[in-house]
Amino acid sequence: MKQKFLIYFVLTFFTVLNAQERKIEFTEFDLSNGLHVILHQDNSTPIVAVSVAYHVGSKNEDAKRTGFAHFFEHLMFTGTENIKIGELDKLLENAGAANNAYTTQDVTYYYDILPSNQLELGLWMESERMLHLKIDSNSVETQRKVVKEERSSRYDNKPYGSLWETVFKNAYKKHPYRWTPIGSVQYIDKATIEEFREFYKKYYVPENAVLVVAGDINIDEAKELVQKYFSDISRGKETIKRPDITEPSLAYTVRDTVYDNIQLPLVLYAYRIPEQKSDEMYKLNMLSDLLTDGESSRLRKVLVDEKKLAIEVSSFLYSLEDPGLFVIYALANYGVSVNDIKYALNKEIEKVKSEMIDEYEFTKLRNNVESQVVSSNSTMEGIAEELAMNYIFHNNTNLINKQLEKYMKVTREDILNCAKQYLPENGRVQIIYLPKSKMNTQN
Amino acid sequence: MPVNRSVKPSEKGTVQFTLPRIEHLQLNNGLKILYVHKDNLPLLQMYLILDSGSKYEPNNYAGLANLTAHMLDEGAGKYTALELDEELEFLGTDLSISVNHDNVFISLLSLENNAEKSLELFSIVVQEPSFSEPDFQREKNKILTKLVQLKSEPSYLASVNFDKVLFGNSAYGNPIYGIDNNIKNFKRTDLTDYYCKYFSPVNAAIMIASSIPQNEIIDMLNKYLGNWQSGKVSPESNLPEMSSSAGLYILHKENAPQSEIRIGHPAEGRKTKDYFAKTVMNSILGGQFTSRINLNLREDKGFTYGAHSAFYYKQDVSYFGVSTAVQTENTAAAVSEIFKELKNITKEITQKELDFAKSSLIKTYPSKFETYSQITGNLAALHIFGLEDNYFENYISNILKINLPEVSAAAKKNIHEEEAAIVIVGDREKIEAALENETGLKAKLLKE
Repeated sequence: MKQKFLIYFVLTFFTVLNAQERKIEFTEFDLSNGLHVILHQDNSTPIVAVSVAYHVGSKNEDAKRTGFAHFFEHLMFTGTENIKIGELDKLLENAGAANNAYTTQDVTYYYDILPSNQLELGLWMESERMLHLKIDSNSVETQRKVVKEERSSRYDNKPYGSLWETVFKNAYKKHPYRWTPIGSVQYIDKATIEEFREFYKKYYVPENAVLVVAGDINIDEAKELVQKYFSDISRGKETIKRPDITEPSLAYTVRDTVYDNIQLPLVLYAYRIPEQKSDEMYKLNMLSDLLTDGESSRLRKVLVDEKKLAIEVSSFLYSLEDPGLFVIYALANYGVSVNDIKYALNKEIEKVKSEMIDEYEFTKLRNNVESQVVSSNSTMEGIAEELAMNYIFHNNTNLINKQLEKYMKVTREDILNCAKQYLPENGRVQIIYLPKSKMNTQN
Repeated sequence: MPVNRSVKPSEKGTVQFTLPRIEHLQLNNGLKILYVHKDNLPLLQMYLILDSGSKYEPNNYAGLANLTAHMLDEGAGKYTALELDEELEFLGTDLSISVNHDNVFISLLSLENNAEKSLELFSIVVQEPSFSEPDFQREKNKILTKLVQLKSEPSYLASVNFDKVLFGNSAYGNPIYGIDNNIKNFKRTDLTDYYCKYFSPVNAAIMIASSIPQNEIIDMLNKYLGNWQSGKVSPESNLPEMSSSAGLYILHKENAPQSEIRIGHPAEGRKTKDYFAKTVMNSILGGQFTSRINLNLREDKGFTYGAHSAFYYKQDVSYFGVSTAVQTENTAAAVSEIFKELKNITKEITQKELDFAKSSLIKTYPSKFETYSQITGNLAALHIFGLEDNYFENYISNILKINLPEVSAAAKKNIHEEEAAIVIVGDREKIEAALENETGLKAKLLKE
């Protein structure tokens, strides 16, 4: 076996050097009103993605209005001065466009995927809702209900649905990351139409947005159309203050237990990590892959395959504009105690902090990353999103072409040091989910 | 000069769209290949599709196809389960297995550079699975645990119970994951028997979208799968006996904040003459975002985050279904609105609605061919339903042709609210009386 590994190593190392990370060409510029524009041409399929990212999310919310940014996202689909209430989705669907949006802690992102001969329609529509959205009380009242049902479908009526709320509530005490974008039902009811209008005036302004057009376009034509529809939108009148709150590091383990409508217990650990623009993210991503990416990854091999303690183990970076979280969780196998899961998880976490990984496992990690990077960017919408986020959070649009290079710089020592630095035993959040039926038998 | 914003910009010319060319090829042992060359990324995306889905399971063996399929990559040839994972992950190759009532899908995603080694491992998984006793026990326990976990998943419960109500005790009425009391009795040899009977090149076909040229990929496939030997038995499925399933069915979930709703009835199959008319009609009714059902339940009433309808086609059975999740207190009202829409669509469809739906379906069409997995998925549909090769080429003109009498006839012929079964997963105490009152039906209780 040994010798074979060696041969693979040499071969794949060669592969990495030859890796075909397809270069994404783009043009970017600012309009005089501060709107940042990124254009990417790819004529292989006759479609175009038009997307607008507004640099506002749930971390910009008042603690007494959680869920506000996401609620507002729903209102962006109602109507404008020139698009009658209820017509926006219709005119896009009629044109063969798919459209949607999402809200995170840091950003609200809207996208339209259109046949390429409908580019102008997409730009007109996005400029309309940046310039003069109409917010009417009927739409607000209906969307209040829709948002509550979205919350129910996605969180309240789903096993472990409250998991992220619980994690963030425990991981942050000062920073607005202590609540999540869906927010709380009581505040959804309180938001007034005036507050929505103020929010729109403050955050939905060109200098707080990035417009991306990616796909079957001609760059010069696209530039002209962008100028035509976006250049007469005025800057906002207010300065946008970003939350400047440093969450103190966790000096001890924060523990919480939730009794839910579930059958199998879940154990989760969350650790603080740097903000997403830090290069530490590449190391941490590889550390996470080492622990749980693939059946032969460390935690899955031991907990799922060998010891059969868990049916699922996962880890990932919840990376955010301000310092985010590294999360590891395991879903217990039937009849397995939470303590056994904790013990096995901790043993493997300690191992990754004390022993450097060997060359073979390291090469496996690198090959996996290469494969992920090469097969990413497979859709125009995906490329548009990546370009927008690279600009907003890294102020470096070209990062899209540097992924593989960044990952290939990570060393085995980096992974070991990262594990030591970011996975402290005392200074993390521990969340346990137990079936409601266990409520009276515990404690 | 300020731009005139009051006029919606019109489309600029027509879209030039060339469909990918589909090549029909064959390996030395007769295994069918559908190949599309695509080279914007250096990838091999491939599906092996086997006619060995759960409908072929014998009675009292619900879950056998799924477990058999998932054992394929749990040790094969000289590799143990973990060694196999190590090998694949070392290449950065993704091999995954999924099962539905009709088919088993083994999919492979590899970088072009690693395609040969990936195909070698793929061929071992397909041809030489070990089915070792410890691996079998572990996977069996995993699926049993998974079933325990799914008992708290309302949307899963609604969907499997809807299948059960519509297709009774035929294999199409059983969940793909199976039934715990059946699975508990499985022996290792049940799996090997099922494998020998149904996992054979006679029952299989391969769909490929890749940057690798056709002759190179065929050479590689011949090398690794060209000697795969045929099994002898051709598949025979356990077809359902259709009986009326109309009625009101409730699965009780105490304190559920929402009710999961499924409403529908069996329908005609995939290859009827009015397929395109049905497609357009369903877009209007519940297929598109601005469909009657979604606009009514979401944008008008605010009952739900989303509601939609579709014709679900399988090889031997098909059905029409509406699905949504609504706040508990609005359950009966939502059901009533859905029935109104089912009734109304058979009475009138306007020219405006027809034009809208056709326009939307035609103009979105090119975006269905953007990625490697979309293309292999499209090839799979061609293979599974035995559609003509020019199906994709003629799609747009076939939609374009549909006129108002045809779409109205499709509604009358295919939507039957009086035959619909209503399956609800929710808090019985809070919804039963109102539902019975609204529908005039006596609720039957479903068990988990």
